[in-house]
Amino acid sequence: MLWPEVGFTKGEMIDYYARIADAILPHIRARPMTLKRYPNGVAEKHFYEKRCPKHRPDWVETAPIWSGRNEGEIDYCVCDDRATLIWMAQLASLELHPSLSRSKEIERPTVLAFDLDPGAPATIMECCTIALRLRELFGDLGLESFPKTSGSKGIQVYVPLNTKIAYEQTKPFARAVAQLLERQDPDLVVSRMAKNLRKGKVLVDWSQNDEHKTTVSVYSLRARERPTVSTPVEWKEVERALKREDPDLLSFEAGEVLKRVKKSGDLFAPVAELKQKLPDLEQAVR
Amino acid sequence: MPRAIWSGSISFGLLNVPVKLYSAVSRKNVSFRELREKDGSRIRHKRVAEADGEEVSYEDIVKGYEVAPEQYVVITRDELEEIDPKKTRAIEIQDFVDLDDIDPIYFDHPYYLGPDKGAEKAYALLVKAMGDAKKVAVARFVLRNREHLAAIRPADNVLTMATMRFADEVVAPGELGEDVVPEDGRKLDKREVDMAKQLIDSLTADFDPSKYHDEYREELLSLIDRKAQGKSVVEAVSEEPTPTKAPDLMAALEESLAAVRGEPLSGGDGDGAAKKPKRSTAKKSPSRSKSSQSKSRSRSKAKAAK
Repeated sequence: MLWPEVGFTKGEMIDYYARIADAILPHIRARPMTLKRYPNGVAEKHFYEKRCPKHRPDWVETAPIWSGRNEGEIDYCVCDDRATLIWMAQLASLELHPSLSRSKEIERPTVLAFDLDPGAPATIMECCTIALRLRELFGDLGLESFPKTSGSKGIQVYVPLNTKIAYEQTKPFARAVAQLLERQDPDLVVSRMAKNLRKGKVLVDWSQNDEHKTTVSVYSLRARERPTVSTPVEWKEVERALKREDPDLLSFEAGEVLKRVKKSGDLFAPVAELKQKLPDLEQAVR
Repeated sequence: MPRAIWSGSISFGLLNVPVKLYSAVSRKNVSFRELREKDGSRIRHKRVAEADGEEVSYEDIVKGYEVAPEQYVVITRDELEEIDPKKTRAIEIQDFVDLDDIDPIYFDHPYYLGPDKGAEKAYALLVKAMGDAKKVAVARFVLRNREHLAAIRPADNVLTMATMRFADEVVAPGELGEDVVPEDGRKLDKREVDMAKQLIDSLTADFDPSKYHDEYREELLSLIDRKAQGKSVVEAVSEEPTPTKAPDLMAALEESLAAVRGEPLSGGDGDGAAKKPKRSTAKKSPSRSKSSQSKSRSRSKAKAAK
């Protein structure tokens, strides 16, 4: 029983990952994966596992990634197929946190990501407002962006890049975007992590655009009271939720997500494929 | 005169011998300064906050122990001070053991202990007694707020002291797993063993430390020497460099957006407008900026409405 409150079992979790495999694999394939494991369920202790467990079967792919902090390489698990995904699930890796880059080109992110995290009493509703502003901002720059729920309290907005770019460019860019949003609406937006600044505001977290950071994968379960999933949504769903002031419109559990994918396919598919280029701001400064 | 790095006293039983501590190693590492390639300016490191890139002064830095990624337990300086080992000046001998009992893997940094003023005789006595007993003293002492274990032994009429690693710091080969620890019962060919032994015999000699040199360092120093002679020395830019401002990406982003939205720059949403730098207002004519301001205000109102 991994979600004791609602009686969602480990078997059901493994079943979910087995069935969502086709949708999730394009988004995690070839990326170093950090596992967030809950061996005794969501209410008990968890741990992050970067180093792929030694007892792994020999068909599980790994990628050696240099870690500055440990002065050495860490062999990350890489999830390229359904079998590996199921193996990870049976380790009670409820949450999958892949890198924003592929292991072969670890310094090159394939997306620009914003994690919109509400500080109470702000909720996912405020996140909707900011997500829509991000869409508008990127739209004005000629770039498409895609929203997903975090599966927890917030929303994440991904701007697919899939072109030659480095964190050295995406991170400052993301920061500039967050700062601009903050300056345009300082009562609602904060771009700095400090907890005391976040009350009633939305943290536009730009700092995950970093080689050493990870963001929860689309279609990953979350260790919340209910088996909610980080779910890709359509922009009009964000607008509708905001209009109706109904946060439940943006909360999806494992079963619902499987149905959504069956009905509408993978809404996040473009994130893995669409090639877009960030404007060169430094050029613009000169 | 070499400078003592610490003074205290060896104590065991009723004996108390004031001593001074000297390092037994002079580090010969070749160290480099970092320079900017194009003009040789010295590189300075700054402590900046990841969150906003702002410089953080030493007083504003606390220590955080990462219990889980991005989750820290903050430990203040006061808290650290509280658990500092008591500042004692004693090298307290715990046991006397045989040198052969200590695996060299435990030894860390070597020091000499010399007699402090007036303690010459007691010191000589200790050296002689330990030499005759052929024993090594295992002692504890506190150096720079850290508790150390050390092995003291006489050599050529002086006491040497090597700090030692604590048992739990030494990695047992078993912890490294089968990559390091060979499987048992592997059949070894007697002839091969004999051949290996023969090879060892043929290379056996008395240990002469002066025979071995750090060849890389010698090579590096000679390279530096050659370049210094040849005058290809970079003159460091030593005057206080005026910091060049990092490009303001946010302003650039704002400009780009204003350009595509067809808005003049001074437009701003809500309260933010008041905080805008004068620079951007100055670029535009007042009348245009006013109209855009009201325009974007109404826009922001529309957005804020839920």
